[in-house]
Amino acid sequence: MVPLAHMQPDRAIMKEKNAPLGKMLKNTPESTLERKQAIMEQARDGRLEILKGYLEPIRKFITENRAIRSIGSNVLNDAFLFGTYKQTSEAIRGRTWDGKQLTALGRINHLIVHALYLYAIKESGMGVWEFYNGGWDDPGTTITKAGTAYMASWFFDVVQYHPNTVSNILSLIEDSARKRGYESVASGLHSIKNTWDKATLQKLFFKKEDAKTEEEK
Amino acid sequence: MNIEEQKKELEELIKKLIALGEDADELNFWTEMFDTMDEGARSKLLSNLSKEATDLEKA
Repeated sequence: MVPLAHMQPDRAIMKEKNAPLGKMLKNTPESTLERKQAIMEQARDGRLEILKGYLEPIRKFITENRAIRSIGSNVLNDAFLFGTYKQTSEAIRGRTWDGKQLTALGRINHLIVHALYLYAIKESGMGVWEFYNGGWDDPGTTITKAGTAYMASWFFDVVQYHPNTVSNILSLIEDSARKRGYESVASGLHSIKNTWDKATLQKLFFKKEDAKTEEEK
Repeated sequence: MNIEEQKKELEELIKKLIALGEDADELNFWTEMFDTMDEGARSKLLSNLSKEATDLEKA
C-alpha cells in the first residue's frame, strides 16, 4: 500500500508527459487535481513515518518494562500499541487499513481514541499501569484517571466499530437493574437502548457502502 | 530556531496548506502534537509541510 502511494506523483507526471498535447490541454484541470492529490498523499505518508518515530519510545518502554509486561499479556500490550498507531494513521489518511473511507466525524473519533490512550499512559505514570486502586473485588476500589481514560477510549472505539456490543451491554445492565428492583433505571436504559438500536451510527463514521454492516452486505 | 519560532512557522504553513486544499482536521492534530514532539521530529514535520506547500503551489 505504501509503495503504491509513493509511486503516485511520478505516475501522474509521467501520464501527463506522455499524453498528446491536445489531450493534455483538454485534461489540464483533472490532471492538476490528480497531481495535487498525489502530492498530498506522499506528504501524509511522510508524516506517518514521523508519527511512527514518535510512538517508538512508548512501544520500547512498554515492551521492555517487566512490570508492565507482567500486568497484561504481550498480546494486549502489542494490540494496544498497534491500535494507537493504526487508528491515528487511519485518521490522517481518512481510510481504514482495510480500505473503508472515513467521514470527518469518523476521523475525529479516531483521534479522540488515540488522545485518550495517550492520556491513559501519561496518567499511569508510564511505570505503573494501574486502572484501579485496591483489589478488584474490594468494595472500596476506585477507578484511576488512567482507568477512566482507557474506558472512555474503549467506549469511543466500540461506538464506531461495534454498535451491537453497546446494545448488548445496555441489555445486560437493564436486566441486572430489573433483577435488583431498580425498575425506573431499567426502563430508562430500555428507552436508551431502543434509541441506540434505531440509530444508524456507522453511517456517521464511514462513507457510503463502507457503513453497511456485514449482514446488510 | 526555538520552539516558539517553530510554532509560528507551523501555524503559517498550516494556514497556507488549508488554503491550498489540505485537510484542516489532520493539520490541527499536528498542532496539538507539536509540543510533545522532540526537536528532530518537529524539524522533520516542518520540512514535510513546507515541501508539500511548495509542491502544491507549483502543481
